[in-house]
Amino acid sequence: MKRVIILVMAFVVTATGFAQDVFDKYETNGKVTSFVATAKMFKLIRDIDFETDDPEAQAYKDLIDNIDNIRVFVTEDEATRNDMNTTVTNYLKSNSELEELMRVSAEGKRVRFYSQDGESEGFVKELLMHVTGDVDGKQMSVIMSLTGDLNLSQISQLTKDLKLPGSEELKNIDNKN
Amino acid sequence: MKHLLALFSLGILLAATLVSCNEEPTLQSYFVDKQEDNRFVKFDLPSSLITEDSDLLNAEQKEVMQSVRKLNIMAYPIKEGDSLKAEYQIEKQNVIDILAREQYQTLISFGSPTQGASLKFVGETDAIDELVIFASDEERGFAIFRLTGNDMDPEKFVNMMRSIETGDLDVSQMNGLGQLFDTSDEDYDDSWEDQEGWVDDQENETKLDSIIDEIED
Repeated sequence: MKRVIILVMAFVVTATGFAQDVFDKYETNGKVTSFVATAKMFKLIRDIDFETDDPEAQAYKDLIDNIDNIRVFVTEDEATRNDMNTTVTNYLKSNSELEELMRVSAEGKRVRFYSQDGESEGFVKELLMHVTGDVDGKQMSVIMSLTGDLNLSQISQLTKDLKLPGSEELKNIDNKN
Repeated sequence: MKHLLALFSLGILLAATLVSCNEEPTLQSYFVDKQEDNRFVKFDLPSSLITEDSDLLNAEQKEVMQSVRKLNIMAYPIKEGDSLKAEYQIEKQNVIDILAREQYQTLISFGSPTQGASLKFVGETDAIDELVIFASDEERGFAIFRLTGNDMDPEKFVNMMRSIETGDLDVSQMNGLGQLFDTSDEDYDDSWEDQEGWVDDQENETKLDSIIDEIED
């Protein structure tokens, strides 16, 4: 019995050490344009504690205070697009707390938002955006994943400033909610 | 007895895993390995050159500077008409493999099919032992910037930078830096700096910096 417990513990320790996120593979895929900012980065920014009088900068600061991770993956490669779509589908299946927030189909592209409710109203723990189809005349697949304690209206500002596809759709998220 | 044997072999297995982890190359060992490799260009700057005999830093600022040990830069420029792109890919993959290890924690990373840049660190966010910037471009080559030290605290650095901005600290007196560039010419071939690849790697850095700036703003 003891042995079993030790074996299980050893397995758990190694497994958590190697735990990888389903989207991580796209970082080194070679066909994907990616942007990742980790929880450590945001912690570092928070530690430095910027002081600012600019209200716009202050809004960003408030947003950053509550973000853990940002990841964006964009690809035009056909095989990778299909792979991304499958990954998103599987991810949604395995994570039943992620619910569809919004879906928009326009001008040949489909934009879908999924979210996991946060602790307070208007806040989410995770926001996943998946865009497929025609973006600026090119066939693309875009995944954006945000985690933290996120205020939806602040996020729409961020995605707009980062010029991400889907930001226009997200702008209206408050009205529909 | 059987149980004891099982425990024992498990212990050996775990020990073996730990030992083999330690034997994997680190960035440090990679830098040492490539010290004599003339496909690479290298630049080392010990922080003592800046802090020694300096009266313009106060005790606290000195302490901040002393937490920095040195800056190493290593670059692999792809030369015009380079037929050895396969070698470049191998070396680049070596670096990527090293940096993929758990101890190198990602702060921020950007990648595209032809370019990449990442900012990683070893230690804790308020006690950094190693800060690494890795930038690559399929046309020009790759570069690694590595700042090593002991419990470097970014907050303190930012405070120091602020005092420079507000004029509390007169940087024009930092002759240490001037001397550095005078002496480095003698034993150091800087012809590669004129190459296109180098300059553009710098641009990559700026790009990364601007991404960081954007977020910080």
